Amino acid sequence: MKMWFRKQPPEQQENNLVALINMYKQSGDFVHFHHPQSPQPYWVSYFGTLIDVEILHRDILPFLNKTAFTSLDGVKAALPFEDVLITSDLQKIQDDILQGSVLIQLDVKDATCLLVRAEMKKAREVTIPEEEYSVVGPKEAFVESITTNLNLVRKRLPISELKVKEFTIGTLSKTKVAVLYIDGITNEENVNTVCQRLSDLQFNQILDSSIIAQLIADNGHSLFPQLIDTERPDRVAGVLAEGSVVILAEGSSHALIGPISAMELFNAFEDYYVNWQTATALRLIRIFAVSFSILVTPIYVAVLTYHYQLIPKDLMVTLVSSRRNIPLPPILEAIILELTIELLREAGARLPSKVGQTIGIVGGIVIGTAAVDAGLTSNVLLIIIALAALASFTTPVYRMGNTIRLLRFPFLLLADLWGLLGIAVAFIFLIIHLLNLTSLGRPYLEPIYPPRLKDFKDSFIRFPFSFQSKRPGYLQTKDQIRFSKKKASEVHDIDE
Amino acid sequence: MKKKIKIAVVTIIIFFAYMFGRVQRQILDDINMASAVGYDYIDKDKIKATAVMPNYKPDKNVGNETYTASNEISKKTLTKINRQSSRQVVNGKLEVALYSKEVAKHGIGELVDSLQRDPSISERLFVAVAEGETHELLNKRYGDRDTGVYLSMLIEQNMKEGIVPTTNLHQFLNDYNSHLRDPFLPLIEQKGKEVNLKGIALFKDDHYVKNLRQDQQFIFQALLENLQLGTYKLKLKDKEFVAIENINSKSRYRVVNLKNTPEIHIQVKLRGIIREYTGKRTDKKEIEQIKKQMEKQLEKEAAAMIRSFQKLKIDPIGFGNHVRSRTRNFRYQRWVDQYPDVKIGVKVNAIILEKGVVD
Repeated sequence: MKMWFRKQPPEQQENNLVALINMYKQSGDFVHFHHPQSPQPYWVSYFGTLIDVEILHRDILPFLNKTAFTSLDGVKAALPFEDVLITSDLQKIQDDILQGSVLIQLDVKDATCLLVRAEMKKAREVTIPEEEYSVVGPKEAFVESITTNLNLVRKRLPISELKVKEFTIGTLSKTKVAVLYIDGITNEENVNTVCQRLSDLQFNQILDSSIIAQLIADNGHSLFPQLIDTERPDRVAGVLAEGSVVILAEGSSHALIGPISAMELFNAFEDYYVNWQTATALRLIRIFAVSFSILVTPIYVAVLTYHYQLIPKDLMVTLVSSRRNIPLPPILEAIILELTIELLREAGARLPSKVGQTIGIVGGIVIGTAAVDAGLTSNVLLIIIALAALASFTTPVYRMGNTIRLLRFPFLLLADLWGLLGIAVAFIFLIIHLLNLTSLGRPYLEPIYPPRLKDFKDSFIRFPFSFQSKRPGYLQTKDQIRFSKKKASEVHDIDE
Repeated sequence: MKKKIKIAVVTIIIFFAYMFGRVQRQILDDINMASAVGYDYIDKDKIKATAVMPNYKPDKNVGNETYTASNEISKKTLTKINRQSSRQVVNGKLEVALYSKEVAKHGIGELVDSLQRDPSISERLFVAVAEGETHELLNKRYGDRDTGVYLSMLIEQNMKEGIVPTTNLHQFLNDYNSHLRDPFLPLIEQKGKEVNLKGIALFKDDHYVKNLRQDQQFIFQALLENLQLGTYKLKLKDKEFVAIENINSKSRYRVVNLKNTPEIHIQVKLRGIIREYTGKRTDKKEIEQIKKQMEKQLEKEAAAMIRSFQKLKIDPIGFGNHVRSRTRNFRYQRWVDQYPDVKIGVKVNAIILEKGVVD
């Protein structure tokens, strides 16, 4: 594994431009041609698959054909582009050509050349967010182009303090990565942490921002996401204004947000678009759903295996009679059903959406009913497992849903081993892990531990905006004040 | 390095715990959960235990299985019963423990002890005395649930309604272990196809001595605890009856002359509603009369009841506790000697809040 990080791709040893071009010529899509008919013969080279040929034909070649140039400066003056570069720096030339520049030489043997940016900008249209869909609120989602994404963010924060730091990461992919923050609000320590981790990153290919998230996470072995990825530009703008740092990557339709606290995993951004009572109720439901989803099957197993005393006498008939004919012990029964649900999910996720639906029906109805009829599982457990699976989908952060699904299994095994005590042990391990965890160096369980009463205003409950005059404490922002509460509560006379 | 040690330690703990730290598995459908147990008297050192176990069928019907075994110690009877059962017999879901009057007369302290020592048995278990053989009572089927649940629902429902004072294993043991109070238990009897809560069985230490009649129960309960929903039937002069319901009671104890022979004055406040009246009209005068008569009758009943307690030297209401809590340097022996002659006066103050809608 470590070899991947250490081994650099072989350094390309071009000592001059001619050699470079000759090397590029080995690629079939490299175009290198001479224009003898024009007033001044010149050489044009580019990757046909990287540049927008229309720009070349419409905006570059006509100007070159018009007049005879004696120097590259003349060409630069004639071309209607703002970022025309004349250079002899081989590294720069190499990088630019590979990113969609057109190289123009007056003579093939010249060491100096002119570079014009004419890259092909093929990106998806800005569409509706699919993972973080919301009924109310804006319906724009990030796309795979970092320029479009930055535009979506800048549109929402038209201030000069919004700073963008750019990095190029990946020895092979040369991915452009941007770090966004608001100067004067965001704690520089957070920005520096992100920048340092990004510049220290040794990896060959960054295909998506999630790879960055895995590589720069505080604890790479943790199941819990330490950076939230979002496809909503409004969420990004919102957290930037709160003082977070945002990472965008070329080719990725997800932005990374950090530092975060665990409570943020239960926040759908839609919470801010509905009134605070609804938002609070929904958040509490989500938190309940998550604990329910993790604990309910283990508790079922523990109670049925060890603690029959805990079952109320009115429930006893239902429970015992549903299990009377079942040959499996509760743990096997639970694991088999859990695996079935996971199978259904996985099959549904891998198949095209139309077939996926069929899988859902086949799995949910046919297998479920058949298993109960055949006496392999009890219908009580079937209900419990289905509810638990449903509850795991309520998390607004997709990654968190996966975490919950996996967390259930150690709980299940310990529940089978030691009953409720086992669940307690598993819970202790979980809490210890969460207490240890940090997100960009900030405590993960922030409003709970370290206890910060003030941060409860936007964690389990979302208080109305008038209560939120201060930024979240775990971000340690430079400027704590969001708006002046005094000014907001001033009453203006209508005559003033 | 440190991390490796940590991981190693955790692995070792888990390994040892897995190998040696197992609790006995009692998978729900592989056990027989006794829901009621009854004890009958055979001879001086032998008792017969009957255990009822619900038999849950896959079609959600519940049947009854009854097992009987006799032995010296009640715990041992369980192992004997286990030999007859196809599934492991456990007693964590025990709802009711019944003692026949015969057993109760010979003392149930040791038998109750075995219930108390088992951690899986709930402290809220209902303990009751049964008229006749418990074996017969438990062998029958009542209602659509198994006998244990049926009996516990019967007792629980009546306690909630305020017909029987609240008792359970915890309460019984508390009274039994206290010097200043004697326990009491509900008394049930089997009448044809039904089980009936007959009254209250009074104990001296752990021996049954007497049972309280149904008509004495009301004042007994009013002296014992604050009633919420009591019912009292009053017989007026000429074959007229009046039923007072929703009685809310409050009793206040005053103890005077603590140094020599204490005197206890109890004031009982009742607030109730007339629900049934066989007379003609209920005007103010009539109500005043009902009220007066109710007070008088209750006072009379209370006096008779307390006198009988004193005669038997039992104290189920816990007068001793009231005296002790008000006496510095309380001496137990002196109180015991004094008790039969202590003057205990009850004064009832009844308020009738409503007399019905149409009148």
